[in-house]
Amino acid sequence: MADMAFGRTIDVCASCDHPSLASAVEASIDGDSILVHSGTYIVQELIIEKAITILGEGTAVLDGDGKTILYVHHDNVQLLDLTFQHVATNYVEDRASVKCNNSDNLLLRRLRVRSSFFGLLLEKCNDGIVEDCDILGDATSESYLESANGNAIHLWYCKRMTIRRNTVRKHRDGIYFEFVENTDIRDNRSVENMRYGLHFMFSHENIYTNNTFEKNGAGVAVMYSDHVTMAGNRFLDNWGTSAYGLLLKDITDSHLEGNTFRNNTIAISADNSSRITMRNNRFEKNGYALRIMGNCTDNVIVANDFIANSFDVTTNSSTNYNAFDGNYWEEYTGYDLDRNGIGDVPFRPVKLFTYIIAQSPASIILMRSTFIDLLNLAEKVTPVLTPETLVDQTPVMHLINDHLTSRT
Amino acid sequence: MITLRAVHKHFGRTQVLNGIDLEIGQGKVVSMLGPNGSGKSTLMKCLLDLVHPSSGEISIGGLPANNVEARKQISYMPQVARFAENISALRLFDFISDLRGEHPDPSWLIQHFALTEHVRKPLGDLSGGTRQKVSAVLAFLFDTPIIVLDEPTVGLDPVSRLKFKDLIMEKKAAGKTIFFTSHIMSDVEEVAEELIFLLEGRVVYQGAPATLLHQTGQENLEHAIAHILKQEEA
Amino acid sequence: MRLTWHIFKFVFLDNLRSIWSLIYALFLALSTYALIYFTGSFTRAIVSIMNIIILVAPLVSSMMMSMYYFNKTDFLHLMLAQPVRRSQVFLGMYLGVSITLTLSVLVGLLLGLLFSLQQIDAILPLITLMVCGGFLSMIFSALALLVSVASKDKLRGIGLTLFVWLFMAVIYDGLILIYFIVFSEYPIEQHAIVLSLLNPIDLSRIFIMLQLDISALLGYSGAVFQKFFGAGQGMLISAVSLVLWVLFPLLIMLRVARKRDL
Repeated sequence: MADMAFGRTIDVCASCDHPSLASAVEASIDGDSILVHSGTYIVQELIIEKAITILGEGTAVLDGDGKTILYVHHDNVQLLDLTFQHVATNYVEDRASVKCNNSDNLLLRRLRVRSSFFGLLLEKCNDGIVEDCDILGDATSESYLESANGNAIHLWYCKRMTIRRNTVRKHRDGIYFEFVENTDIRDNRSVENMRYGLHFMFSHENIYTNNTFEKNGAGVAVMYSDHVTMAGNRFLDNWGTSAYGLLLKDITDSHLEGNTFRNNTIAISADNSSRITMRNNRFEKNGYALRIMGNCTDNVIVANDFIANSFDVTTNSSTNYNAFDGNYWEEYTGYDLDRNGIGDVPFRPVKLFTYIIAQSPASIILMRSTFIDLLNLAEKVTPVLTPETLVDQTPVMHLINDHLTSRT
Repeated sequence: MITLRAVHKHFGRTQVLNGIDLEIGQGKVVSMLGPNGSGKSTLMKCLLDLVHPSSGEISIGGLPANNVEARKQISYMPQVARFAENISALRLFDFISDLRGEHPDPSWLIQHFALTEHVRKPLGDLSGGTRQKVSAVLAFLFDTPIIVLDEPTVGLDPVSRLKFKDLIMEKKAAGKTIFFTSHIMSDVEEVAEELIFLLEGRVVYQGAPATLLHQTGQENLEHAIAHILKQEEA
Repeated sequence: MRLTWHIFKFVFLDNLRSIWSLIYALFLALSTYALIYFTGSFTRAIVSIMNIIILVAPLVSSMMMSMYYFNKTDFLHLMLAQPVRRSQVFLGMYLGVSITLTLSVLVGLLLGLLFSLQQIDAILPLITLMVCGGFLSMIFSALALLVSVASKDKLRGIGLTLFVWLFMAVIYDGLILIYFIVFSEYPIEQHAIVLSLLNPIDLSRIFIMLQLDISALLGYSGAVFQKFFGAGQGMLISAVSLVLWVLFPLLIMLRVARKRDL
C-alpha cells in the first residue's frame, strides 16, 4: 500500500477537470487517488481495474439510479468515505453498490450505503478489510418478500477477510457468508434485518467477536461449518414465530464463549451439531434457552448462566450425548449444605412439558398450569420421557458470568 | 289465624307430614308436641315457607304461606341462636328491623331480659343462654298477630324463663296467636291452652291439655303423652 | 334492592370483622412480599404469585362460602322468616361473603406489593393479577354457594365444592391436555381458546401469562393466542366470559334456592 502515497490525486467535482468519476478512473493509473468532492454523481456500472483509491470529501454521493454502481476487478483497491445510493432490486442479476470480484487486499472503509439491493458484494476476494461501514436498506415488515431485498455484506468464496465495526440494517441478511474462511468478524452491529442478522454456510475457521445481532426477523443462522469461534457476541430480541438467537445446523468443533442471549424466542437451537463447547454464556429471558436435538453429540455446556428463561433446555429425544456441567440455573431449587457453592442435588433442566409442546403445540396454552406443574414434578422425580443423562451434576448456586451485563 | 289443609310432605321416599289438617284460632296459645322425627320441625318450617309442602295448603292470616306478606304477620324465634359471630345484638335488632321495615324500640325488652351489658358485645362472645335471650327479644320486638317459637325456653335460666312466660301471657292478653314447640312439659302445662300432638306426620290429638288428661286418665301431661305413645305402639 | 343491600351490609360486616378475613389477607400479603423479596426476579415472582392466586383464591372462596352457608343455617332461617324474598336473602348473603373475600385478595396483594415497591417494574400484570384474583373469588363463591344449596347435607356440600375446585384447578387441564394430544394432528388453536374460556382459572392464567413470559407462547399457536387474547375483541370476550362465570352460577343458585327446602 505504501507505493500509493506516491501516486497523483485526481479531483472529481462539477467544475473540476473530471466532472464524472468515470473519466477520473479512466485517466488514473495504479497508485492514483481520486478525490470525489461533495455532490451527487450518477455512477452506473463503473468498472475499476486499477489499484486506485477513491475517497469522498464532504458528502460525496454516488447514485446508481437503479444500476450497480461500482465493479471492482483488481487487487489493492480502496474505497473510503463514500455514500452509495439507489441500486434497485433486480431478480436477474445481483445488483450492489459495490461488487468486487477476484480482488485481493481490498479496503472498504466508512462507506454509507442507502437503498441498495445488495450493499457490498464480494466474490473470491482475499485478505481484504470492510470496516466502519453503515449500510441501511429499505426492508420493512411490509416488504415481506425476502427476495425483494439483498444482503448488506455478502461474501462468497473469500479468505482471511476482516469485517469490523460495521452497522448493517434492514436488509435481507445483515452479513452473509458462503465458502468464507479464516475471517475475522468483530464489533459489528446487525439490526432489524428481514431474515438473518448473520447467515453463513460452508464457512470454516472464522472468528466472530463482540458483535451485536439484534431484532432480526429470524435471528442468526449458521450452517455446515466447522471450527467456528463465537465469543462475546450479543444475540438480542430476535423475536418471532421461527426466530432464533442462534441456529446451529451441522456445526462442529466450535466454541461459543461469553455470549449474551437475551429475549430470543429460542436462544440457541442446535441441530446435528457436535463437539461444540458452550462456555460462560448468559441466557436471559429467552423462551427456550437451549434447544438441543437428539442428533447433537459430544457438546459441552459448562459454566453458563440460565436466568428467567421460560424453558432452559429442551430436546426431542430421550437420549442425550452431551455434557452439562457446572452451570447456574435460576430454576434450581436444591440446597448447598456443605457451602461449596455447588448444589448438592443434581439439576434436570429438561421439563416434560416441552415434550408435550413438541407433540401438540396448542398445549402451550397450559403453560404454568397446576396440572402441568404436577406433571413436571412427577417427571422430575421419576424421569420417564426426559433423557436420564441430561442432568447437571454440579449446578452452581450463584451467577457465574456477572460481567456479562444486560447492555445492548 | 293459621290453617293447614291436607298438608303432605315427603323428602324422597320418606313421608314426613302425612295429611295435616289444623286450625289455630286467633289469640290462642298452642303448643305442638311429639317425639323426634314426628314432623314437628318440618311443620314449623312449612309455616315459615322454609319447606314447601308436597301437597295441601297453608294459610297464614288468610294469605298463602309462600306469600312474602304472610311473614309480615309472624315473629319467629329459632331454636339455636347462632346468627353472626362478629356483630352486636343491637346491630342484629337493627338489621331485622331493617328487613321488616319497622323500627320498634327494643330497650324495654333488653331491660326485661337484663341484656343491657351484653347488647354491644359481638354475638360470638355471648353464652348460649344469653344468645337465647337475644333471640327472645327478636320474638317479642315486633307487633305481629302470630308468634312462632321453636323450643324457646331451652337454655334459659329460671328467672328469664319466668319473664319469658310473663311475656307470652301478656301477648296472649293482647290477642296474639302463639305457636310453640317445647320439650319442657311444665312450660307447656303452664301456658298452653291448646295442644297439638304429632306422631309420624299426623295430628293424633288437638285440644285442651285438660281434655287430654281426662281422656287418658293420667295425672299430668308427661304421663298422658306416654300413654298415647303406648297406645300407638300397640 | 333495599333489602338485599341490608342483608349484604350485615353479612359483609360480620365477615369483614372475622379473624379469617384478616388471616387470609395477611397470608396473601406475606406470600406476595416474600416471593418478590426472595425470588429476586420480578417476572418470576409474579408467576409464583399468580400460581398462588389462581389456586388459593378459588379454594379459599369456595371453602369460606360453603362453610358460611352450612354454619349459618339458623341465621339463614331467621332472615327467611322475615318478610323478604329468598332471592334477596341469597343474593345478599352471596354478595356479603364474596365481596369480603374479594377485598381480602385485593388488600392482601396491595399490602404485599406496597412493601416491595422498589422491585416492581411493570404495573399492568399486577392489575391483571388483581382483577383476576377478584373475579376468581366472585366466581368460586358463586359456584360454591350453588353447589352447597343444591347439596343434601354439609358433608356432601363441602365435598362437592372441593371437587369443583379440584376439577377446575387441575383435572380440567388434564382432560384438555389429553384432547390436545389426541387431536395434535389438527389445528386446534381455536378449540384451545374456547376451552380456556370455559374455565375461569385457565382464563385468568392465560391473561396474566400473556403479559409476562409470552416468549415461550410463540410459535404458531402462541401467535394465535396472542392475537386473540391480546386484541380488543378477544379481551372483551374474555372479560364477558368472566362476568358470565359470575352471573351464571349465581342465577342458577337463586333458582335452586327458590325451590329448595331449607
